[in-house]
Amino acid sequence: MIPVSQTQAEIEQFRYIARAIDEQVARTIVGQHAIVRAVTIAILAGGHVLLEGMPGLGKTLLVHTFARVLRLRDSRIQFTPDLMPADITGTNVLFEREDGRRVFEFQPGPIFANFVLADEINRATPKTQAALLEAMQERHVTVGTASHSLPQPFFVLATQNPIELEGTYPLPEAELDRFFFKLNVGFPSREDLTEIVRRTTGRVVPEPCPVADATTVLAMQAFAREVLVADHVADYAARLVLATHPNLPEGAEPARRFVRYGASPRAAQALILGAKIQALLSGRANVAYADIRAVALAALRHRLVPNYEAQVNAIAADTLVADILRSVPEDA
Amino acid sequence: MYSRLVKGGPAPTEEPALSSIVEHFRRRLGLEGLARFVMRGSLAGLVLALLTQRLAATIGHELPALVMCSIAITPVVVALALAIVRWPSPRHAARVADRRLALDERLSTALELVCDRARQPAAGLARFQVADAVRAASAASEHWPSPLASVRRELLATLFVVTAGSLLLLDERGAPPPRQAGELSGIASVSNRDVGPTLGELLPGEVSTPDWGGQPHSLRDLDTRQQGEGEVDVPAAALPAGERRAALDRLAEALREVSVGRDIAERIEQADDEGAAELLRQLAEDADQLSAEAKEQLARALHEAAEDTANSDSRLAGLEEQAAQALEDAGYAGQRQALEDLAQALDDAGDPRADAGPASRREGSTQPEGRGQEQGGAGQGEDDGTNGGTGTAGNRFAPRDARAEAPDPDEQAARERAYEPSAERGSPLATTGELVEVPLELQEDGGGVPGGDGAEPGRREDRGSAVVAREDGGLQDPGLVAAEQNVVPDDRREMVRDYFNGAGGDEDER
Repeated sequence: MIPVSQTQAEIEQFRYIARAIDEQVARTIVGQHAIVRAVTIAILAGGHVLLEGMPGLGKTLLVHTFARVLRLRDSRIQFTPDLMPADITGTNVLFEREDGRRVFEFQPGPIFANFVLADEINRATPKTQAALLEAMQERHVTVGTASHSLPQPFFVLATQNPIELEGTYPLPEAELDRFFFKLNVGFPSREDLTEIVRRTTGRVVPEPCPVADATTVLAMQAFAREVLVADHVADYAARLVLATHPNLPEGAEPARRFVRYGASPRAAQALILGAKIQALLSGRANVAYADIRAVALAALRHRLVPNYEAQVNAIAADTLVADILRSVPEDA
Repeated sequence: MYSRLVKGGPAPTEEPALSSIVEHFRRRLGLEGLARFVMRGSLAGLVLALLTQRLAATIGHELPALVMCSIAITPVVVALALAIVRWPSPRHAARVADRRLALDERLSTALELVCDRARQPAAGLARFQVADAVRAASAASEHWPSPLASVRRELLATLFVVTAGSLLLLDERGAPPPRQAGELSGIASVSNRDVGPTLGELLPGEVSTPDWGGQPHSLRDLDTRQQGEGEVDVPAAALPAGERRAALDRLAEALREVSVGRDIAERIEQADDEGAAELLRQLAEDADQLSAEAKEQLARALHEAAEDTANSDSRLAGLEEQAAQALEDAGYAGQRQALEDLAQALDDAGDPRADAGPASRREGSTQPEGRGQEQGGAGQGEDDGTNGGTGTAGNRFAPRDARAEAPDPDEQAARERAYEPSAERGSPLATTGELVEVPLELQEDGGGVPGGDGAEPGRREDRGSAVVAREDGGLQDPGLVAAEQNVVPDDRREMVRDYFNGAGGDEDER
C-alpha cells in the first residue's frame, strides 16, 4: 500500500516540476504567464495547442523554449501554400545499398520530433493540414504501406495569424477540434515590452535550463490521469459541453442565440484532463469545479462555431463561453 | 456508517474520520433545514391565523382560541414533518460543505471514493484524497455559518409578520367590537333621522349667532358641533351612579364655599337633585343681583369643581366650566343661561330620561307635553326656534308655579306674537345698551318693551335663548345689557314682572 506521504510527495514533485518549467520558460518569455501555464497544462495532459496572435509576439520562441526546458527534440515547419504532406510526414526515398541493390527507405519528415512548431498553419492547403492533423490525432504516420509511430511525447504547437487572411486556408472545425487548447497570445504590456527590449538587446541573453525530460513528462502525464473526479464534477463538465449546443435541450440561452455548432466530446475530455492538471498544480488529488472553469475558455473557444448573428454582432467565442459558464450551475 | 458500503478501498484510518465529519455536517445541515422549515411554517401559521381572524372579524364571528391555535400550529407541524422527510443525505451534506467551506469538492469526492470503492483508480491517490478531505474539512468546520445566518430571511419575515399582526390586533382591540359599533351607528342614524329634520324645521334659515369665539356660527353649525360633542362626551347613562354622585358631591362641595350656593349644596348632599336644580335656577334668575365678588367666588368654585370632575363626568364638568366662564365674562343672559344649563344637568341626575342623552331631550322638546315643553324657553338652545328666540324672556318673568302648568293657548299665542321679532316691534329686552326709560304704558300692539320707541329690529342675535337687538343693527352682547337692572328700580320690579306676565292686571294698577 502506498503511504499517503508518498502520494503527497509525488504531488509536490509534480507541482515543483511544473513550477520549474514555468520559471525557466519565463526566463526567455517575458510576461504571458497565463499562456505559459496553459501550454504547460496542455503538455502534461498530452494535448496540442493552437496559438493565435500577431506576428512577433514570441510564439516561435515559446515553442523553442519549451523544447529546451523539457529537453525534447523539436522541429519547425513553416506552412506555405506549396507545402506538401510529404514535406511534413516524410517520404520513401530510393536508396542504393552497398551491395548495389536499390530500396525505398522512409525518410522521416519534420513531424518526427517531440515538439513540432507548425508555424502559420493556416497558410498550407487543406491536404497538407490534414496530414499534420492526422498525425496529431493518431500519433503515427502512414507512408505507403508502412506505418511509422511518432516519438513520445509528441506535441504540436501550431500558430496562426488572425489578420493576414489573404491566401490562407482557415482550419476546418474538425481539425480545430484536435487541438487541446487554443490560446490567444495578446500584446505585451508596457512593462513586459520594456523587459523584452532589455533582455533581447543586451550582450547576454538569458538561456533557459532544462528541468525535465521526455520520461519525466510521460510520467507526469500518467500521474495526472489518476487524479480523481467525482461524478457530479464530471457531470458539470458534461453539462458545460452540452450547454454549447443550440439544438439540445441542455443548450444554454447564449448558445441558442449565437452558436451554430457546439463543442464535441473531445471538449469534455479536454476539460477534465486540463482540470486534473490544474488540480494537481493546486496540490489536490481531486478535480473541483473551479479547475474546470479555469480551463474552460482555452478548451471551448475553438470548438464553438458562431452563427451568422454572432458574426454580425461581433460576438467573440470567448464572450459566448463566458456566458455559457455563467448560465450553467455547478450543482444540478 | 459508510463502512458497510466499502468493500476494500481507502485505509480504515481515514474512513471513520470522514464518516464522523460528514455526519457532523449532515446534522448541522439537517438542523438548519429544520429551523428553516419551522420558521417558514410559523410564518405561514401566523399569516393564516391573522387572515382567519380578520375574516372571522369581518363576518362578525369570533373563533375560539383553540381553533386559532390549531390554525397557527398546523403549518408548523407540516413543516416539521417535511424537514424530517427531507433530512439531507451524506452526499448532499458533503456537497453543501464543499460549497460553503470552499473545500474544492474534496469532501464529496472522498465520500464518493469511500462509498464506491470499485471505481478507485489508484489506492495511493485515493487515500491521499480522503485524508486531504478530512484535514481540510476539519480545519474549515469552524467556519460553518451559524444557524441564525441561514434562517436570517425567515427570521426577518417572521418578525415582520408578528409585528404587523400585533399592530392589527392592537388596532382591533382599540376599536369597538363590530356588534357594538353597529349599535352605535344605529343610534347615530336614528339621532340624525329624528333630530336632523326637527332642527331643520326649527331653523329654516342660516340665522347668525353671536360670536362666541370670535367667529360667527350658524345654528346649523352649532347643531352639528353639538352632535359631534354628543358623540364624544360620555353619556350620563354610561356613567356609573357612583361616579355621577361623586361629581355632584364635588359640585356641592364647591358651592358650599360660596354663600349663595350653600342651600344648593345642602340639597345636593341630601340627594335632592331636583330641589338643588330649582334653587340653582333661582340663582340663575337672580344672577344680576349677585355682587361681582360673589360671582367671582362662585366662578372660581365652579371652575375648581369642573377641573376635579372632568375625568368622572365630563358633561357636568363642561357645564360647570361654562357657568364659571359665563360668571366671569358674560352678561346677565349668558350667566343665567349657563347656570340654568347646570341646573338642568342637576335635574337630569335625578331624571331617568336623562339616560337617553341629549337626543332624547331634543325629542322631548318637540312634544306638546313633557319636560322639554315645560322648560319652554328655559335656556335650552334647541328650543329657541320654537319660541322665537325669546324663551329666556318668557321664562324669566314667568311665575314659578306657572312653569309647571301647561300654558293657556291664547296666552301662549299672544306671548309668541309679542315676542316675535318684526320691523315694528322689537324684543321685549331689545335695547341699545344705553340707559333707556321703561315706558309705563304698553304700546298699542301689546308688545311694549323697554326702549321700544327707539328700538329697531336690526339684526337678531341668538346666543342660546337670549335674543338682543341693537338700534343700529349691530351685534350686541346681551350680557352687557341688563335692562332691568339698569332701568327698573328694585321696588318696582315686581310690578314690571306682573306686567309682562300679563297677570298684573290693568293699567290702573300700573
